[in-house]
Amino acid sequence: MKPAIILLIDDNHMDIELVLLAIAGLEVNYEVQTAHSGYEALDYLFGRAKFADRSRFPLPDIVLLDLKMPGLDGHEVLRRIKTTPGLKRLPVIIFTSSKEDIDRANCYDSGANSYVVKPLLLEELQTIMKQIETYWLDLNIGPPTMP
Amino acid sequence: MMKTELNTQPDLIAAVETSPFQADLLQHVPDAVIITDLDFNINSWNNAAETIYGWQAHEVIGKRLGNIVSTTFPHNHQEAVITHLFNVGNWQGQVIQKRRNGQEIHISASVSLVKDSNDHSVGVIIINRPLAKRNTEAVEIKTLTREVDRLNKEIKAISYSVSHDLRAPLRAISGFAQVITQRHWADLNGETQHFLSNIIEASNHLDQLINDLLTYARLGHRVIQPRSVDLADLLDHIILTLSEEIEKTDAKIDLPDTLCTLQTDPFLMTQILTNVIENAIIYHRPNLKPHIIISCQTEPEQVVIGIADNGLGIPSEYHHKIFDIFQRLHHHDTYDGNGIGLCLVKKALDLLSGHISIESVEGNGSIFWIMLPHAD
Repeated sequence: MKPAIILLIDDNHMDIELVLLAIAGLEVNYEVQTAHSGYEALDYLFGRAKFADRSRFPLPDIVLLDLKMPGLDGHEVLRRIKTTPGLKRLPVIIFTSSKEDIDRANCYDSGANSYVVKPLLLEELQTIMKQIETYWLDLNIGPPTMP
Repeated sequence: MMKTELNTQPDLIAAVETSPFQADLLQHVPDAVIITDLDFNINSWNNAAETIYGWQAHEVIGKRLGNIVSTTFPHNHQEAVITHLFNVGNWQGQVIQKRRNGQEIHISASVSLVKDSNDHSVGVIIINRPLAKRNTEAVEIKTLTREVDRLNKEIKAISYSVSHDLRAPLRAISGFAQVITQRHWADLNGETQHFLSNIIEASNHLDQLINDLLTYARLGHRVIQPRSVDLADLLDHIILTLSEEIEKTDAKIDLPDTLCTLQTDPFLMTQILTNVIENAIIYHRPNLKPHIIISCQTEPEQVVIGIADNGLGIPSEYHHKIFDIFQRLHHHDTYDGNGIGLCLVKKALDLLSGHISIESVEGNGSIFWIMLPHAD
């Protein structure tokens, strides 16, 4: 079976590196694609620019989305995903430093499917990355394939 | 004679100034004395009026008073004031007027109808006294309120930024140190392992500090949401969240047989009780298991919750300081804590109109009394 695709959208390259290091030691049945800004994320999701080749950059099964990014931030990327007919059913997990009420409220209002705070401990990060697979890819029944 | 009688109604002035003595008196009293006709056209304007409003008498005589001092009446009820004046014969109250330079002044005004010898109203006499202090206070309150709003916004912006931005580099420092620990521990010599452990420990400490500071900052703009809180349920929940510390120290917590139900904000109450109970567990005497006794009494005015421990106790000279931010009595190496806990407790209690006091003898345990007024 083809591994699932998680699109990790984060402007902080160290956070991306830590996620990749965390899953390197795990047995997970997914691949992580990365986008380093809100703009890159939309290019990926719309199959544009350097992500035009869908065979190399397939639509993800899950999006892991950071909120605070320069320019086009996570809130805006989320709104774009949730208002685009071909993308709106895509499960989006917010993955951020912030526990602020206002962020949580805005994200759920915009249609976020889950909200996870980035942990300090590597072991916790590994647990989260494993739990994402267990819940979102194994247990959860995703939306039908989009047209 | 009054100084200003240009274009005036002789009858009206005569009705007010029945003698040269009275005329002189009106001219020199410290209050603004203004005489107008029944349409509020100015007939007379004394020295004090010149000083208070900045207009010379010859500049205002014959003009409508409202055009000169642009009066704002309480609740903008100008018509009600005028109706009252003509029905009753006088009106007293506070108004806001403008000086020549546009500056607003708060005025205590006394307005009366002037009658002639046949008891017919011929004009209006207005005696105005500036409320200098009140005016200054009002302006100060306005300025301070603006300043508080600005600071609140700033605190919100800072805590939002701390929430997002301060954690990212910390996560990187700690995260990569942990990656080295996971992947290369065996390759490191003892000293390097020790330094690496220090980096991770300090990062954990800073993370906890950031969390507590954010909780503290957020309390300031929290909307209180009181509801019925069963103290027994709340304490069960708190003891569960503290289970790790309880197991580590083998602490014993005694609850009374019956506990009351409070009308309060459950989030704030959780913060208060968790911090006090956690302290009672952490600051235990070496070689003595923490024993905590919780009591609850309903008094006519308030509910009093007591949390007594057999721990280190606090010297009396520190009793007033322990509720200040970043005050620690013990070294990090000996006891965990960052000096925010009790400060947070006090702030939460302030928000609930409650208070906290302490009875303690160094080396002989402490009792914290938490007092909460009954909800209205």
